[in-house]
Amino acid sequence: MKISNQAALTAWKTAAAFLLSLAFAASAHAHSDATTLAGGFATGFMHPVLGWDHVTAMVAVGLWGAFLGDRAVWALPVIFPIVMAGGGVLGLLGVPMPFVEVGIALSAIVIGAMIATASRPPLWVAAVVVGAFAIFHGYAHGAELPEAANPLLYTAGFMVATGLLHLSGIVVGLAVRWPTGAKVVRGIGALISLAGVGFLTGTL
Amino acid sequence: MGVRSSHPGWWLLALLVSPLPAWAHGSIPGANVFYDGFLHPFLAPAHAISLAALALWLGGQGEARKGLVIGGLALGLLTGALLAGSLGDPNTDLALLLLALACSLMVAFQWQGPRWWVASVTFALGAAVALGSGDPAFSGSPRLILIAGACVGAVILVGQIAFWVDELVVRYRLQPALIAVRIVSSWLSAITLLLVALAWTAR
Repeated sequence: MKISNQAALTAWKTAAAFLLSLAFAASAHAHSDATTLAGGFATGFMHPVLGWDHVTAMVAVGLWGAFLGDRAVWALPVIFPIVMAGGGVLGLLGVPMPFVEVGIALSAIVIGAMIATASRPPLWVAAVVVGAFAIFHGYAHGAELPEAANPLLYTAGFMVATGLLHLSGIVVGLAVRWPTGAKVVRGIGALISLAGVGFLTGTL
Repeated sequence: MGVRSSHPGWWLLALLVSPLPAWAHGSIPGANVFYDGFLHPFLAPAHAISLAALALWLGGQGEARKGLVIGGLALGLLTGALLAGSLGDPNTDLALLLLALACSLMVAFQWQGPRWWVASVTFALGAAVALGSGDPAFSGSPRLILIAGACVGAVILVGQIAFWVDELVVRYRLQPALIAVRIVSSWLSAITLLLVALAWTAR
């Protein structure tokens, strides 16, 4: 089959764009230690992503927001980082807070259970629940902030990662509009809750 | 079928890669100093965050209040530029982070605030940007050019972001854009709150 000029040009452009993106990526990775612009951001970005207890709780927040629908879709992801930063301030100031890891595990258990049981409390109740657990997550991050080589980029990195994890939960949670999707979402909520039990008991 | 010799995408790519050789010969007297100042609001983290937060706030304001914000910012920048030298080029990063926190919280919670508050915050932010853009290494006209560049950069940074927020959120009423603006503002609030606390504990 003879390839037309237009198709060849399109293929070439695609290949060129791919090679160009590889070149940019290589230069970005070349200096990815924590003290550089990209490295500081990447270190903060990876921090919540590499902790399964954080990941499940963040995804659960987004999932629950989508499950509740309407304003909750964006209200919970707006409230969470702000209250989380409040918890981070407590961690920075060295204010003693007991049971931080227990609180983080409980966040997965409770929010997962809310999704699994299809609980639809008023928005303010959901905001208080999410906000209360956000303090524990923020405390854990804040306590590690002074060690970051570039606090601004580290903070920006983990806030963006947190937001993207929320978004992941929202995207999956949008499946509730279909009957089967709602069952799947509730099943995921149950799994998140079980994972929380695993974090609490130390089996995960 | 003939192949088009030019395509907007390729022109854009060419424009993206062309600035480096163009910058290599910036021989207009005072131009390098101006560009140093111009880039300062984009590269200094506290300046960039505070101006971005102000822009998100400005973009969502009604027409009547836009004038108040723009006027407050312009007056603040002018006042700060005039006072920067006599005040010894103070470090205004903490003040800028606090003002960024105020602006981003107002966007996240969609709080408009009274007119005196709007004017005060924008004036203070403009003054803090200009005050914090000076450099003791410069004096006389280079110093004025440096701060003028910073003021122009600040206005362009705010104008660019505010324009798009205004277009997407106010004019076209795109709900996803409003949600994105609020979520980004909540991130900015969280980042600035932690940085303010970090700066406070480091004192």
